[in-house]
Amino acid sequence: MIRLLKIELHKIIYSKTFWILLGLYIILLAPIAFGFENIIGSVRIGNGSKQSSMGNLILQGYSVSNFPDIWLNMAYLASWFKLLLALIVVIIVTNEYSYRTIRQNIIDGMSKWEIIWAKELIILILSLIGVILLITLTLILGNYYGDTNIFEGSGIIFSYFFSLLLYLNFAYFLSSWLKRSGFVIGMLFLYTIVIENLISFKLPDYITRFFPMNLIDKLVPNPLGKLLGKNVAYDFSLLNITVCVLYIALFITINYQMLRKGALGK
Amino acid sequence: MTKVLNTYNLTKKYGSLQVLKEVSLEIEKGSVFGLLGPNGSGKTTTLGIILDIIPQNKGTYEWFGQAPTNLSRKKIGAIVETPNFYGYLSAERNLMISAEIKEAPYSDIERVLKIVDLFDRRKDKFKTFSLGMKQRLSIAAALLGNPEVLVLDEPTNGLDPQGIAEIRNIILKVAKQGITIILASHMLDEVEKVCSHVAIIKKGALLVQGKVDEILGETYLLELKADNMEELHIAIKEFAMVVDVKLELDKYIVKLSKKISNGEINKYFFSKGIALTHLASRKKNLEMQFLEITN
Repeated sequence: MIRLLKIELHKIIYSKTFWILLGLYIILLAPIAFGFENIIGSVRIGNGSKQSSMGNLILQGYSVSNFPDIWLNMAYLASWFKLLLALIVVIIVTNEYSYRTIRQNIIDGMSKWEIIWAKELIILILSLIGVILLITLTLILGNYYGDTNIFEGSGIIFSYFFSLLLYLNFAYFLSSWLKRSGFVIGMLFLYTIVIENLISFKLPDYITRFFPMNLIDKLVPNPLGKLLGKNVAYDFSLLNITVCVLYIALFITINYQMLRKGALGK
Repeated sequence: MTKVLNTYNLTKKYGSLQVLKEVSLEIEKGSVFGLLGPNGSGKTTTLGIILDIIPQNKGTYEWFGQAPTNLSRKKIGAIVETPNFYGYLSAERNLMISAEIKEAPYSDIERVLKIVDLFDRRKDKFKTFSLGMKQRLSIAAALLGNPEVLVLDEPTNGLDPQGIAEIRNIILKVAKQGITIILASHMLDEVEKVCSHVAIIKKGALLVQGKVDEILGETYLLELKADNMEELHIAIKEFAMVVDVKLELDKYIVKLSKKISNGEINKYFFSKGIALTHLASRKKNLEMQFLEITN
């Protein structure tokens, strides 16, 4: 495990692309998080009372930075930026095909499972970076009151972590399938925005709710409904997590089968 | 003799195109084994299969007498087709990755870089290297961790004469250390210069394999003519060094097992009472021989 980690770290530590994308992730997310209140606050009208665009009056003194709501608010905000983490995965995986180093790594003595676990380690690290950033930003930006229990609502951390794992594994699967970064990024957008919605169109909710992007939405839901007075909660149920893990297992299995059948790029 | 590699009936198809037909090879420890064949004959496919980057449709192979695993590949240094490295990383860092994979110590990097004469350029990025340097770096990577076998696929392809000479010297240097070398090449003189054993493949089929001097060894040909061709034929058959004889137009073409001066030959036939009207010796060149085998 340490050996696989060292192999992958050698590859990324001197990669400019990796640091630019990771830097962008942190640099973009942090200031936007700091300005989050102001962005949401733009719906503020009158003297201090808040109103959503629907015109419903919201409790005086409500802030997106109040515990416990901030956990979900931050997770949802951060969730938008997971695309940058996915791009890191896409770049490091497709690089192996464009440099043909995946062949050389195997020739040099990596087993096909090791090829996969090495990349899974990077996915794990990126997901942990995402989680740590979420925790840090939340703890910095949260409004503390005397009786605040900052851990209330923090269970979203796990939900968010699994949503990252699923999304990054999806990106890994697309990368080892399509092998060219341009195609992969195109497919990632196409699937997220068009394909899943198209397939879902005629299918009932109890099926479509388990589609990968829908599942991610369930794990880290849009909190804006709260401003409309709706009850919004992340759905970290055993069922959701099981489906999430099954997807990841499926992607890993397909990746392995592709390697086994010798799909190592041209 | 211990066998380093055995392949049994390796077969590969791409759709309806059969690129490898039941290729069975046997490579002895310590030999420099040339896999010779024209472009597209299946050399790279064969190497790809034994290195586990191309799955075969049929057949098996064994490294060191055992079923292959990724552990056996750690004892093999190999380059297939082009040098494959991370362009944005330095030569040294690229070798650190290879060393980590092979579980060879980093201290070995200096040694292999010196063998291929790239130690001074170790901090430079791979993408700034010339083709010859890239090729040398891949040999350096293959030498990491003192492999028992070195597999080289067209290592001099695309290089200038100086580059070719450098690579050949490296190969000969390595061979002297007793490392088994498997060298795929379409160049006959390359195989002849560095190999002890050779297998010739054409259109995916193995034509012949054995020692280089047995298969590609020099033979000596004579063209002979006399007034009485029948007597000449009988005299030729009685001559001790003759391997083969055939009539070509109005001349006998005689294959000899070793070189004999024309004077000696003339003397022999004169002693048999035959006056030669035509005597010419010709050395059969390797290209002709190669074409003869592959046609």
